[in-house]
Amino acid sequence: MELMDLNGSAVADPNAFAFVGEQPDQADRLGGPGQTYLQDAMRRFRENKAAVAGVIILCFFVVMSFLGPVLSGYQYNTSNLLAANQGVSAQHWFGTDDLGRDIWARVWKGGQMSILIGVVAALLQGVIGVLIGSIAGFVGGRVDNIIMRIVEFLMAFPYLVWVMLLMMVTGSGVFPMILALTLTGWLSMARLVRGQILSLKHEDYVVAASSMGGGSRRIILKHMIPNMMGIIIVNMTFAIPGAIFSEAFLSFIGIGISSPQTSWGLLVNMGMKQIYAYPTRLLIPCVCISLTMLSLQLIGDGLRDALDPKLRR
Amino acid sequence: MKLLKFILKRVVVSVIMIFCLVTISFFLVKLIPGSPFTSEKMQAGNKAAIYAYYGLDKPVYEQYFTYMKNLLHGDLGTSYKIRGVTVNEIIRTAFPYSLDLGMRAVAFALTMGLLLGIVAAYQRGKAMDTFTMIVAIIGTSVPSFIMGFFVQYLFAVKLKWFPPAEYTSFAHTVLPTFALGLGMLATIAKYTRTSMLEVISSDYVKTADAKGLSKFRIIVGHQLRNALMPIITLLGPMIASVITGTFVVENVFAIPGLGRHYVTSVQGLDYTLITGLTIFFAAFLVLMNLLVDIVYALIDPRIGLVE
Amino acid sequence: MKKIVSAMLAVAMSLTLLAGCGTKTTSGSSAAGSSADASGNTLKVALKTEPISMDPHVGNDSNTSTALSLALEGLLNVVNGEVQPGMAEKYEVSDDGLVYTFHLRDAKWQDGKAVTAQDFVDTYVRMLTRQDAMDLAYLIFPIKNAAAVNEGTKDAAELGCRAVDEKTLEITLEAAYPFMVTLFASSAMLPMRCDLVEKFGTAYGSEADKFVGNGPYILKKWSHSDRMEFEKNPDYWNAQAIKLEKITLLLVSDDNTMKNMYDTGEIYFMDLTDPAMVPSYEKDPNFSYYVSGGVTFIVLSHKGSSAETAKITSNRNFLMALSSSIDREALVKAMFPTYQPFTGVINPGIADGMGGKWGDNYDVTDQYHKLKADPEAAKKYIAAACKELGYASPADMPAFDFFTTSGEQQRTLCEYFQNTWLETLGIKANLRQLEFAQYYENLYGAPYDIARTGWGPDYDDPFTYLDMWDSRGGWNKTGWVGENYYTLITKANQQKDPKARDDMFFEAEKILLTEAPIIPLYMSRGACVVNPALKNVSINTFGARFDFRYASFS
Repeated sequence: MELMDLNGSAVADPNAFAFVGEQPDQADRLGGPGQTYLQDAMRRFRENKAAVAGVIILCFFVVMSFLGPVLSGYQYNTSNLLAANQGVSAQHWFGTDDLGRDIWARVWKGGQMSILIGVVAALLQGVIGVLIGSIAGFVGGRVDNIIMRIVEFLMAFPYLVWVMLLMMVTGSGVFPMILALTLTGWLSMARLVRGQILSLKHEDYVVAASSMGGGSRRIILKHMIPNMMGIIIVNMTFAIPGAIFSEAFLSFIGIGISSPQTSWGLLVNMGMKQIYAYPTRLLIPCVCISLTMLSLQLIGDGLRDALDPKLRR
Repeated sequence: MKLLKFILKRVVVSVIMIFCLVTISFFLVKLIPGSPFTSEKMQAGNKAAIYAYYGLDKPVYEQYFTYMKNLLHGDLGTSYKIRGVTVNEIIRTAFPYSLDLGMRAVAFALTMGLLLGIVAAYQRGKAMDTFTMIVAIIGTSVPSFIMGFFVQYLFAVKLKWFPPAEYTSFAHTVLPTFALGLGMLATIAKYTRTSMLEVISSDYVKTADAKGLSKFRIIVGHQLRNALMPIITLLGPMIASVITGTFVVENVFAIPGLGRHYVTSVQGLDYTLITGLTIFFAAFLVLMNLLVDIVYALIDPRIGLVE
Repeated sequence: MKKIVSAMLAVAMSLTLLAGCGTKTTSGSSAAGSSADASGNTLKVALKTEPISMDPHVGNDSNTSTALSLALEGLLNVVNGEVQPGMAEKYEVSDDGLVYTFHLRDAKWQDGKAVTAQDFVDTYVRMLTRQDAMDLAYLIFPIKNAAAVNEGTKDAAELGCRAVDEKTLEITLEAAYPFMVTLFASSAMLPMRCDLVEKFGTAYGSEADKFVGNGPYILKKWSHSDRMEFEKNPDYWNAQAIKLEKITLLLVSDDNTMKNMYDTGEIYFMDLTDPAMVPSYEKDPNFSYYVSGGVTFIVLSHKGSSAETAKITSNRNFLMALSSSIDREALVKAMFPTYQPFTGVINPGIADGMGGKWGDNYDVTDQYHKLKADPEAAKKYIAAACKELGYASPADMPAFDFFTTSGEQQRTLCEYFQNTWLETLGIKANLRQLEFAQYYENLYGAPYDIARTGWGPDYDDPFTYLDMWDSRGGWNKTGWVGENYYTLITKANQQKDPKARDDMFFEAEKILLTEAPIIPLYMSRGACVVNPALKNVSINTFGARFDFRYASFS
């Protein structure tokens, strides 16, 4: 039988409760299981439908770029002139290009390259930026001043002009490109991290921790890094589409990676020249780039909202 | 007075920065392998003569001092590829096109971006908000060279609303402005929406609302001004991206601007033109950053002036 | 304070808006310019690259020659492939074919000065002795002592070029070259105003106001990387034959943009430089092919990028292995449907000495190099090469540096070779795509193993395809030295009998195909579309590629 109150709602059966005795060690506990910062962020990220969609799209492209070339059974660079310029068919799912190469295999191989460049460049930019930014922020004083002047100075170069010049000096190829993108891309991260550290230094809990005798090692590991992690990850997520864009742009103007490798930017560029004769050669890599960009932005937005401590419940 | 001192200091720093930029660009360009004077049929002896003519046979440091001396007189040298034309002349004729296009794009992106961002924030979750988000997504996830082509194909070839290329009348400017501004518009709309949402729920807006101020005065007087802050910091890098964005858009719409010159000079190893344009771009960017810094310092007294 | 600043910001923003909305006052053509232009007798033409200079010695690509042909006129003109009188009313050739005497008409430069024989002499002397641009000096080496004057070993006064009187020009040649007529009509031999060169220096011909012409049109405005505007020259000797009042050359570097402009009627003529554009127009009644004469090769460097690769690239069996693994026919069909596979050195479309085409009597097609791939033969060749060079298998050979120019098409093309050689022969080639300037710099100085290169004819004679392989000139960049080849072509040029000369050239072609490190690939063919409203565009293999001087609207 269920007990009802006056309004007709169920009320707890007092018999269901029992006295457990005095438990002083439990007195301060709050109800409900504790959630760490990360668990909470994950939960909020999962609730964000757009971000989850972004993860699904991105996973699709990442998986396909590694699985795709295997699935079709064709090598991305094997030419077969007798099968050139074919449309979509059962043998060639996206058709063939003017050397008779399987476009399906090429698109996914190109995806590998674009994603690789994006991720590696973003990671390297992030690592260098965090390192230099934290040195500036922690050491402060003259070192900070010098580093920030250099950063400011490098920022005065228009980003792509700088990358183009570097690529002209080093020659085309994957590593020169990653190098050029890294050398020019760490600046904003360094600025961001320095700013974060400077403001965190004056946060009450850091001041409290250090006045209570917490060593700087403990402060960095326990307070600074968890508090900065979110913003660093978000920044890096946004740096990936930036790098992929730059790769596409460099390929577009003709200083990209070297043959026989291929990338989405290169495929778009090739497709552009043949848009009227073979529109799918442009559309397919175009859709791939755009959807990858989209997914990374959705994930970045989702992460930013999820990791923002202000929004934590 | 404090302001004057701040500006003066920034100007001095900017001048030093431009000097370093000139030096670095000069030597970086010298490091590029290859030579500007080559063609299929030229003989080796002739090449030496041309090198001597342009002073390229002298040691690099000597070339550098000559270059710096000329630069002090505002002379960026003569282009190697566009025969007999000075870099100054090229910049003088091409920059107005890039500036005109860039300003139109910034104006278009700012007005439409702010408008969309504000409306989206107020109509949160409704049709306008969704529309803004779609614009933001397209604008930030489609590369400008693809956008340029599609815009031209759709509006000029298929619909015939606008002429496909050239830059001679207002109708000609519409498509390139749109193609160049869309990316920026998307970013501005996104940021405006976010910061408007933050501002809307802030206490002072609630107070103003409670005091019975008109909706217009609340938006303009309280919300917009505060929401503008992050947008202003964005402007500096955004103008830089407009400069590089013109590389592609100028090419697609056959606009004789600086971006197109830059790409061709890089491809043709036109040393003086590459160096000259790099310096010009960089100096322009330094100036823009200086302006943004000053404006920001004026608007937000918490930063900048107290140094 | 804060209020004022925000107000200022708002004002600044609206100012940029206003500036953004105000129309620029440039040449003033409207959006619907095409129809208005047609009735106003103005022709708009789009070019993919900008004419390099109005100084005729600086560049001789087809677009430069198109611009030059409008504003300058040489001794002779070429119209639709036929040589017609230009500044010279008539000319005589001496019996031994060594001396040409030109009788100039009463013509004026656009500033009113008379065109004299001395103008031509000064121009050619300047072409050979100027320090700032001598890329094209070699073109007039057929003139007596020209090469020596260019090298500085002889005085300019000894050049075989003399003004007999104000209107008579006498040109003496090194040998009785039969191709001189097309050379005299080419843009390399256009006259210039040397008295103005002293005034403008290197800037001569770089701007509309730093140039004086004598052609059917006057260059009125040149805005770089944008447009060149020409207006009819009322004082031109043949002015009544000139129909168009105004011609604008517009720079449009993007192929798709150019197509969009043609399709919307903005431009009336389009040169289809990219074969990928051809399928869109092939069925169009206004589409046509023209002979460009271009030939494309792969060359191997005898110097190599290292001592080891040099040994391999000098090996004949190795070259034949590379060559016979290529399927020229299928390659051309798949990638360049408008081109033709090529297995010789001399383009069969060039004029022979007997009034016909080279291909009529001399044919090496499918003989030394094959049209189709022959993987079995290729494997035999590479096995033989391995044996000769002491490799157990081709996989033991080092990777080769393969140079090509930038561009998507070149990239795709060379990826084919890279892949085919790897799969058929097991040879690794590292493809290096370089910007044009870097590419040729590398062929000159830096070491390379394999390169893709092309060659276009300068005049209508087989010799134009042969003199580039003369090892003494700077143009043969392979390190190959053919003593017997050099003696043969020198002797051929001294022949009086055209048949004997052509026979010797044929022998020379065979030497190249059996000894020189070259692998022929394909011959290119030009294609263009002309709006049916536009008539009388002259398209030439030599001289101005596209000549609009007699064009008119129907």
